[in-house]
Amino acid sequence: MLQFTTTLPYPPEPEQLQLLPDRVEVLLEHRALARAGQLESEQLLDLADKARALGHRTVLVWDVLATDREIAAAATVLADLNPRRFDAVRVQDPGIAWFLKQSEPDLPLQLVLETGNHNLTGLEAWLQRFQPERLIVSNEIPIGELSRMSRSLPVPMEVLVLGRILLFYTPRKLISPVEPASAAGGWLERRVVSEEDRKNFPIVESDHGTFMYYEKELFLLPWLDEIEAAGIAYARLDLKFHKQELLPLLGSFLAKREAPLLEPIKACLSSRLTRGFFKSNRTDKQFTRLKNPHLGSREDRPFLGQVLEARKREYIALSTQHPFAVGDTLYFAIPEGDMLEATVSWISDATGQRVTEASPPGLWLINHRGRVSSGTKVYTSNKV
Amino acid sequence: MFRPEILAPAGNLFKLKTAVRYGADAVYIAGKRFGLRSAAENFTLGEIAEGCRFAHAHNAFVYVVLNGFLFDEELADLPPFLSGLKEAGVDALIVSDLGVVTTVQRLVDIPIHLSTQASALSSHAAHFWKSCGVKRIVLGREVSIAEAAAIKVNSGVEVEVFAHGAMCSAYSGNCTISNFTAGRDSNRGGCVQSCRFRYRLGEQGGPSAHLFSSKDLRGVSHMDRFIQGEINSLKIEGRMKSALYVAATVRTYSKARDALLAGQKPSVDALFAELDAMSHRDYSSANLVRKADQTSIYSHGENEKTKTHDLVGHVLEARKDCHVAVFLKNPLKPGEPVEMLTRYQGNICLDTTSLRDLSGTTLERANPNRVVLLSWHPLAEKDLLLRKGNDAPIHHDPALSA
Repeated sequence: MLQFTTTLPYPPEPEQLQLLPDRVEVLLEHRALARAGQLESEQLLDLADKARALGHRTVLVWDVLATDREIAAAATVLADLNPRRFDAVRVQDPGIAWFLKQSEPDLPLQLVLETGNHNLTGLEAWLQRFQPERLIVSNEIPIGELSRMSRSLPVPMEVLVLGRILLFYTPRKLISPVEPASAAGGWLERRVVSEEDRKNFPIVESDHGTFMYYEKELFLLPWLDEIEAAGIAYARLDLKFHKQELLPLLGSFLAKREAPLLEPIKACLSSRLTRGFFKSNRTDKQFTRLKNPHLGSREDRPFLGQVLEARKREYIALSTQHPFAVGDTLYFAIPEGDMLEATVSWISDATGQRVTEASPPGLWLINHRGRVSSGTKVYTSNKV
Repeated sequence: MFRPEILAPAGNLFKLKTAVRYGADAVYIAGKRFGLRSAAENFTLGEIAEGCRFAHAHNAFVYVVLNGFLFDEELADLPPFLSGLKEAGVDALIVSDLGVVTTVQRLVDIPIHLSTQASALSSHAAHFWKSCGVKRIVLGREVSIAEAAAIKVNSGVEVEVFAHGAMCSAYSGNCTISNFTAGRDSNRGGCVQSCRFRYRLGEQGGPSAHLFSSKDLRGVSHMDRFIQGEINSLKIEGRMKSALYVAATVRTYSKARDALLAGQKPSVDALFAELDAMSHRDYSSANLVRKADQTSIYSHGENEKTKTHDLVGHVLEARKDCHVAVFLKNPLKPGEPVEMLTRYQGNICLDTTSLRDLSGTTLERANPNRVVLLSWHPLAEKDLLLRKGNDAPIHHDPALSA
């Protein structure tokens, strides 16, 4: 059965916990540990206690990427919080995961693998290395792939089903310097509009840097049954940028999963919505169009060299890698894609000295062939 | 004294040979797939093998990048390519994805370097990746030289640090702007460089600026710190960049290192002038010494000059007492001052008063993609690069000068 894990709308209030469906897992984001965390220790511990009292699991989020110095500083905050008070700690940085495995070997970990982990072999390896209780997998993996992966993985997987899609994470503070008057408190929330394509992105500056999110919000609530059928165990609701009014609407929908109950949720969300790569991911399909395939040399034919210059009715200048001789037939793969053929009727060196064999490899001139131009690849056989 | 490796980018075989000729200790290249620069020419397996033969003959190493984040379908295509790389004799693979690390270890005995795409930032991360069998870590660009040195000492793993070139604004591997806005996976070679766009803060009327565009990194003035920190490898970014860029950066960084190792103090102004010659954004030291801040963001100033020199071409052959044949990549007129870049003898002026084509005709002007003949020069050698000044003062960032 699909279970839910959630952040709370900001500012989080203990009353919000009452509005959550039964036995939901609550993600608690401390200002010093989570990328977009805003909770101070006392506030976080109070929420954790109240969540536990209501029967919810609590997970402490430590999802920043961090240097040694930053890990050491955060570790003192962690020690004050006492990580054992939580049901698990959620991390992305393998350095932090390693640190926790060394310092708190029995602490259950949830491993965020949302960037850069799109294959089963990798997920299995992470599992073997850290034995996390859960893998939080990428929204770039289509559901069909996730379904196949879930059959091989012995631990639960989690995907984001509602919330902002993080596009960009830098430790640099990039907003406050251009808007210094509003830098108080270390937290800024704005929108930026690309002047290139007019796209409009939410952006946050926190103690941990700058975070840009996609202009559309991920909204997979209509496909929860499909997600469940794919073997995904946990669906994440990231509500920290949302209003508290969303909670009862979500509660109603999650209890019944009836389509009409989605409409008030959509109305409550301020962003445009997307299902992202839920059904398919074709983000590698344009690559073949990024360069002219005819300008690369082919491995399936014997490569002689490249045309440097072609002077109409005079000569072709070649840079060669192998010897060739008068009488040889050469094959010219021109940038337009055609393969042209010509017999070598004469060869000369750069001084104009005629030779019958072009050896050693280097700069040679031969008889001209129409349509051959600079950049053409030359082969000694047309047979694949 | 410790001698850091100078590691150069090479987008094709010519650039690989150029890098090695001008002093690179190692080059990093990519095959036709599995890297992060789909638009680069990249290498066939045959070219990789030839590149390895050439590099090894000159005591240099070849590393192949396999640092895309692969989906299962692509990972399934990897094994035959790995066998080909082993056969070609590559010295290491640069990998970012634990699935690829695991696959490589299962199939071939080639050392693994962890790509900066994995954003390894700490000694703890280094310990983890070492436990996975990684020999070297290309550290995240957010790590300072001092932190890199400490990571090496604490973990016992080799460390590689970016020393020069264009910079991602985001943590590497943590940017998916292209994926969602342009339908091109930035982590499989399709980055559209959205961070270089101009953005307006606020939906109406806010300030407009290049909020996310990083200045280029220039670490040559910190060579003493690299040496003292015993950083194993200094990486020059730029597999998409020109042969002139490769030659000039490699020569400049190796010259700075070698001078310090010889107990000399290189002229920083001269080193900077060489690096100003090539097209670049404003330079900064990024995180090498202290944490990068807003001053590391490039403003893309109007009409600013971004280089002092243009590539002329390269030497095709030097025939004693006869000619220097040059393949032109930019126009050339008789009498234009042209410098030939050599590794040890500096920049040599070539005589261009006589400019002839291959049929011996004297030219008033030669266009790109032509072969021209210049007067012979005793230091001219095949494949050396030629450049010419473009008579414009370089734009200097006042903040950097300060």
